[in-house]
Amino acid sequence: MIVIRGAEVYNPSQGNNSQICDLWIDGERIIDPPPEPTNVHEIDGRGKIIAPAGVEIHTHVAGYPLNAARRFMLVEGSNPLNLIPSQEEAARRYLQMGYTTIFDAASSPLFARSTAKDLDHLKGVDRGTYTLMGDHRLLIDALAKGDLSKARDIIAWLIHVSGGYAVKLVNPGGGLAWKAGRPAPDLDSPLGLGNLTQRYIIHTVVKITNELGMPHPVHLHACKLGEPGNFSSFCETIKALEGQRTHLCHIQFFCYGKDESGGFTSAAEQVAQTLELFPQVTCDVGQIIFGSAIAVSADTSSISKLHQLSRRPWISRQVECEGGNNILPLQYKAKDLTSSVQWATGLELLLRFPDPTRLFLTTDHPNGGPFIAYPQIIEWLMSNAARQEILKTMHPTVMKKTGLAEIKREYTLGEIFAMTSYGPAKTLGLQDRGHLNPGALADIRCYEKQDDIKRMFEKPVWVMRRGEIVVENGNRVVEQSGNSLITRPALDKARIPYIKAELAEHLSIPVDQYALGNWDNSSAKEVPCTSTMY
Amino acid sequence: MTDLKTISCPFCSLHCSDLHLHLDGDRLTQVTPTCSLAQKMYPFALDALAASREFSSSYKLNQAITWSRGSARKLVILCGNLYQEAIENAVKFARKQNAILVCEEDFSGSILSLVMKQTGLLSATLGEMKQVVQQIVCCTKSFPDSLPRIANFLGYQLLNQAVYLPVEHTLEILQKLRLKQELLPERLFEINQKIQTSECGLVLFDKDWLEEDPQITTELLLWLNELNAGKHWYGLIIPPAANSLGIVERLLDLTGYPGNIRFQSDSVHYHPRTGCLRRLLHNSQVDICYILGTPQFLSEEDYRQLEKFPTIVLGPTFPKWKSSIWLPTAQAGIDCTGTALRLDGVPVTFEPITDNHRQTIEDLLQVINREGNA
Repeated sequence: MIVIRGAEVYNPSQGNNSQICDLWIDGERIIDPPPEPTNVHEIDGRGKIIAPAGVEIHTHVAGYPLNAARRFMLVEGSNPLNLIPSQEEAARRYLQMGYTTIFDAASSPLFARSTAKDLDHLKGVDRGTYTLMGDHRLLIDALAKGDLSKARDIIAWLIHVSGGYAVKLVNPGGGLAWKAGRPAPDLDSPLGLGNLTQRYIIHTVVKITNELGMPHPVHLHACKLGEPGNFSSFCETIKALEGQRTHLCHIQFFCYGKDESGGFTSAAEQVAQTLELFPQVTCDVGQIIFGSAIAVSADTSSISKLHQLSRRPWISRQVECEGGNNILPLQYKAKDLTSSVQWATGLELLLRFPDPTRLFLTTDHPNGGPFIAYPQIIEWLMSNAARQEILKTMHPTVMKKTGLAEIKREYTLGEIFAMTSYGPAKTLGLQDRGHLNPGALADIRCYEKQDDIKRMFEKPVWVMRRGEIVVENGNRVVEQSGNSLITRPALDKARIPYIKAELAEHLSIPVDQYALGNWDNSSAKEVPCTSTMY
Repeated sequence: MTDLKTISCPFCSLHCSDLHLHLDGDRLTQVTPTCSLAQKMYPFALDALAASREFSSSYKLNQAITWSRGSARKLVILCGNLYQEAIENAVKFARKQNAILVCEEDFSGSILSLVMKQTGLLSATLGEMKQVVQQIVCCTKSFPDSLPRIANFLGYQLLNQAVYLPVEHTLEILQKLRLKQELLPERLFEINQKIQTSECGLVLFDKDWLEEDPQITTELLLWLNELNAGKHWYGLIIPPAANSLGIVERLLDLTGYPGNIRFQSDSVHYHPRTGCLRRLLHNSQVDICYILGTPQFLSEEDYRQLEKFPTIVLGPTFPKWKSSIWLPTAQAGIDCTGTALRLDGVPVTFEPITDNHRQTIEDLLQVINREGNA
């Protein structure tokens, strides 16, 4: 039994204020103060801040595309691990920052075994991945024919065979359009398959996923990523959900207005206002950081446009029965107006949106920059002075193109913990973490209270996972294995042979080798599909 | 009594998953559908399995451990027939031994990675290619020889209608195509016409070019880049050796680099030029060499250099040259399980076809690692 004495405890499920109290742990879980404690190990928490460990809802740390990205970073004597760390290194860095749960943002079913192998190397953290299916041939065909029961079984089966945790849609139908040489679709343009539109795909798959009771709703990457003026289409997408439970990812990239010369402006205010109307919708921000980044995305139509604009070499691989994987190196520069507007838009969005349990901190690593920049972003959120300071170094026009300079709001510590642990855990359907209520997992981070916010968040005093301190003063002191988290939504098993037979017609490998094949994921921890939220 | 086994074949980078082996005990009687490489390699692998029993001995393993203890500058070479699980252990081994780790087929890792960084690359999985490709362009001398069943994946008709770039003056030809020179020779003009009129295509590129002259590879990728900047979508296939792509991908996963890696205590350094296999061998910068898998691309000169210092081969087949010690190991797809990546990156699983289990590379590496650290 452990007790952390006299710490300033933040429990975001109970609001954003802290409380000086003792926190009791028995084994892997937090407990109520016991009436007659025995074998108590005391940890002195005085002058320390205690909060639930971080939960990463959207990062790219596993799978084939990362290796393609690494090829771009190769320079003799350089260290590509700074931007694209190996899985072990990524897990170590997340743990050092106080994160114990990490979700990889996209995994192609055909390459599921490679992703699973990578996830296995994320040692010491709980991890999972979302299964890409927005361009999956079987699903799209079923939707085009209006066979919703079949679509439902295909979704469930793909999650099963890929070892996925949730459904990922990336600009659904966009990959198919690109392959067919058609323009990138918007919400209502026909995809060339009867009356099928992106609006219908999104609305239907979101509905099916919620009906399946999956703990995390559809994880949606919308259309028109990174285009000036895309906010109107994005707001339409939000409205198209009709209030259904959905998670929208890296939304900073969808919050742009357009000035008279076609350049970028911030539309964060309009998007924040739209989001406020739909309380079942959650988001992560995808904040950019100045410096090197690399686009890692299944959104072929958007990345190909970026490639044409930037004239930089890209790597694109198209996948049978699915969309594609795309890699494009990026540079965000403070003196560049577009980069500055993107940077300011992300922060403006975070600062304008009032509820930190619905909009979470991410960099869409490595698309917006490395996840190790979180402490820097937190400093900008908590200190208007820090924001004003960096604004001075930027392209001067950024003040006119965005509303960031006028915002005075400063996040509180409680809000930071809500947006980095409680909020993401809740939308992931992980009720056992992200808070410090009795029964919660004892995944905890402890900080030295200090004025230097960035420094404080860079290096927790210690990080605890399952009641055991695993990182102390930045050093990993205990190696744990961590769990792979999966879901197994219900499906009509009688339909599986038909799904396999149909898939076999399009595959270049035997269907039994598809996705995880004979990969043993029996040690993975299943999170039940019992959500009743819509 | 003949057994029929449907397998994934480990012997070329297509890793066909639909081969049927007709086995009479340990004797192969037939392979269907016919594949010239499988016909040749399976009997060879089964013979090697029988022969290896004579060569297994704990004395040789102890000798390897003793040599390992006494050596400071260690080189690990990853060769053919290695599967993902063995590669992971090879990296652990090299890390613990502070060794230099290189791939035998160096060009598919380091050189290609460097070229891709400059030019980019479009590609697709084989199933996807079959759906979209209208034209195949062969920039190759011997593609069908190295991948006998490629036509099964891409379609015979498509392969029959392929255009072949002349094998002489390849660099100049690629430059002419890229620069869209108006005065193309007649034959090139026709080839260019066919390419331009097909929106989707596939270029099959011979790895010999990659090895002979990286400039040709660069030029090829630049040409494809130009082509794809318009309405076209031309992908590229470079057939590596069996699971060569898997080796490179796993190294990238685990270390961040595709080969030419020097491990030093906790750090990793990448030296594609000075750390390439040939330089290391020829500059005598090595005290002991571990060769993992079956070498396929080492030259006679490389073998001569290897004879200058202790060499420990951990692989399923008897080495072609006079190595110091050969420790026979299991081969995925013959007598152990394993995972490989096909040339398009799709994971493929191998199952054993016999019950005669030999020790795996990872078993032996773990023993040497435990007992033989200097």
